Amino acid sequence: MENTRIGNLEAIALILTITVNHVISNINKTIISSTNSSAILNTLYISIIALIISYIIYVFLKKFPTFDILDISNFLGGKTLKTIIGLLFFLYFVIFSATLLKNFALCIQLIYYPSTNVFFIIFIFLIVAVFVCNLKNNSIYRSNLLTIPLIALSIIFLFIGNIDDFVFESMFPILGNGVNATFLSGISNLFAFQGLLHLLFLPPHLKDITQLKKITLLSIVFSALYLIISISIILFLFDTTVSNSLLMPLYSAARYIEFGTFFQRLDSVFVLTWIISFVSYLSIIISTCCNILKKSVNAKSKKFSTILIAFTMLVITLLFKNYAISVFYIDIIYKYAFFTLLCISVAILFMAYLCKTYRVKSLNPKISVRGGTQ
Amino acid sequence: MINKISKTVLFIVVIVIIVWGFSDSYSSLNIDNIVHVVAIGIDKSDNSDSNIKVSFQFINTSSGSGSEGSSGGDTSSVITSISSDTVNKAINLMNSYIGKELNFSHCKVIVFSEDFAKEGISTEICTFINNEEIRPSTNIVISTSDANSYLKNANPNIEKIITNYYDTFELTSNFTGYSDDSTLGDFYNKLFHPFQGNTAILGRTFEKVSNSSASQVGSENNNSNSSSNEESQNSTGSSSKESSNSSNTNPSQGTNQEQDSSNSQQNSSSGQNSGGNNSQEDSSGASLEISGERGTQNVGIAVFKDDKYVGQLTELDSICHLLITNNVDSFLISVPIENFPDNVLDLSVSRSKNSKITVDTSSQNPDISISVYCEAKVLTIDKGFNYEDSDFLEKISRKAEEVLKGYIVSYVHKTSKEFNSDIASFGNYSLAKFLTTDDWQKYDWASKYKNATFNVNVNINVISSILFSGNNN
Repeated sequence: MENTRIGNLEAIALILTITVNHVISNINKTIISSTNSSAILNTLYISIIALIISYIIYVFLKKFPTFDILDISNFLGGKTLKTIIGLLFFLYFVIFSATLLKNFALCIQLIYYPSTNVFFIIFIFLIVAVFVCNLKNNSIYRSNLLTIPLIALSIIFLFIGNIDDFVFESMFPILGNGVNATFLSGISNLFAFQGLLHLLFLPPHLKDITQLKKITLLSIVFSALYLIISISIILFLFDTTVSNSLLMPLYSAARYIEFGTFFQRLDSVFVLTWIISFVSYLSIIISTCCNILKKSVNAKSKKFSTILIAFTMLVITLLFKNYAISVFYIDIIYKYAFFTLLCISVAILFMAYLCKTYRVKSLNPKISVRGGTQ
Repeated sequence: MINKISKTVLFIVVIVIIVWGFSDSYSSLNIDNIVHVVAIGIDKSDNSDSNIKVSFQFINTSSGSGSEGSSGGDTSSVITSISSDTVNKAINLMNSYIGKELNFSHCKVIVFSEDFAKEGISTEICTFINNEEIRPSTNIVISTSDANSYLKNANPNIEKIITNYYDTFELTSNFTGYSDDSTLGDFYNKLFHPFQGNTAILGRTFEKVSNSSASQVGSENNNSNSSSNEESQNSTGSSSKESSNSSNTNPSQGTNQEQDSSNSQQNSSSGQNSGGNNSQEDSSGASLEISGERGTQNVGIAVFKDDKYVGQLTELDSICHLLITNNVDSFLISVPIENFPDNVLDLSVSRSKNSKITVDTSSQNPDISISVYCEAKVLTIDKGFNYEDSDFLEKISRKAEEVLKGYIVSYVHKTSKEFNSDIASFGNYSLAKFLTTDDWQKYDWASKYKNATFNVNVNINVISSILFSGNNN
């Protein structure tokens, strides 16, 4: 019998992978360009907000153990609401990850395979992701857990390797582009915490649902740490004019690392770890989308679903004519889509929470709602 | 069974697609189809139809065994020049001329001629940084002569291959302080910065040693120090003979001699630019003389304002620059001491801790305080001087502080008053005084830097000599 439940570490690694790959694909550049020297302050600020939101999500989810957002939608508005929400999340995950895939593949092409059509690079990524998705016994989450230490080590190494070239004064003036850019419009950088949306699909997969609070908070804290370290590297190493013009700032930072004349060109090692991480990310997305299809439209065959999702991604990647269009989609369109989905989800959770509390109270006013189980 | 067959067919199809897709990249990056460029030189074009002359230095792999004469390093590299409108066009033309694709992943140095750099190099720097093969650690050199001559004269006389010589730039900068280890990445990073000035290695070419005359670093001293030339020639007699053989095989010898005459004019004018200091003098004021097979030396720093070369700093200025920016490990200064032989005492100085810089922006013009902290060891010992005498060491310390302070004051005034280029990034230390980027921009550091006042504080602690404590007798 297939083991489909995941432990605490695997769950934390899952959420972290989502943020990590978003960071590798340039969210740090977006944050720095909007805030300038206050990027670190802004990241701290949005990290606190992300923690608060994740805690709110936890409080609502706690009321429905083993339910994900689709089950809760079903509870609140029946099959129609479940299908609508399912399709919204499906479209968001597929289109957004396809855009990231296109960007990442373009960078790999520019750096290593100048004469290869980007189609082939995307094709390889998707083939591997589909293959991993169809392996049994939670291979996705286990392999993902193995890549996370590599990613953590690589970002720490990137920070230490460049530390001699850092200009720490770059974090001043402390408010950068102003209070508005840092704290008001800067709140839009919460978009960096893509893991928040994936938290909504986590409960049914957990071995021990009582650990949800720990998993939720730790995954956001680790994501925040990763984001802060990566933004610090870019901010301290490059002038903001330069960092805003870099195609892949973390890769450019990796190119600066040299230890004498013996250890040179270490960027290849970083790219290798990022490729492994990106495949892991793609398999998580395809797997999540598979589950969404299964719940929303009763798709039975997992194999067929994964191939269909991968094919959809491949088609979407081919729609983006150039890098500028995909960057526009990531920075503008998906940002709004992220906040819309997050608001809708929190609203559904909140209403379902109220609904359940009211029903329980009306059934038996003497039973305390706190700690109740489904 | 059918399932197994379909899986095998699918596997084969995937493998075929991958092989087909990636074979082009494999072919284009194949070692047989590329040629490695180790250095690039950029000059103004002599041709009126084109803007720039680009020289490419390659490793000649066919002469790896040294069959054409291993005494001269120049036989292992080939320099080819081409005139064009842009660098990219020049690369393409060179691809066509050579019949292979130029690969820059082993490019160590990019040399610009002084004349070219005066008109701005931002286009070329942006072109190079946008090339994924060129490393950010590639050194930028501004040659006082033309870049082509610099490459031709940069024959390694100790290292076997030219790239090993280019690798020494960083190391030399660390333990002599005579030049900055400026790289492409650093240069680009400061290129569009609102206030920071840029620096590059200042490269000089001079006549290589031949059997007729020894060479000097200072071209302007060629005539006045003829007697010194003879001495140095005598002291390097054996190497002169070797180099005479190698110079005969060098077809560019005539060109180099022409360049040397133009160098002397350029160096003289640059000496005037830098406040009348003779850039070829060491810390004791004596002229430096170098003779050897290699006709290049990196001494001093080329200063840029925005993307334009505005002047040069001497080796003493270079030491001060690297000391303030914490980029030098050790350096040598000479301190005048009365009654000492030649009245000069050499000290090996190293940083004891990072320099401390504070900037006060409360007044109209910035007030910059610089404190440097060093330790020193006495290199010169002679009869009658005792380094176990604490008072004497204290006296040397105070004298050394006085000397180094003088150098630093001269350096900071040169960068602010003369070049108006904040190459030490003093402006960074004022950023914390402002709340927002707007406030900082309103202060307009770039235009106020030339009116900045400097307060220099030097702390040197002379510890001892090295192996001997002097001689009391």
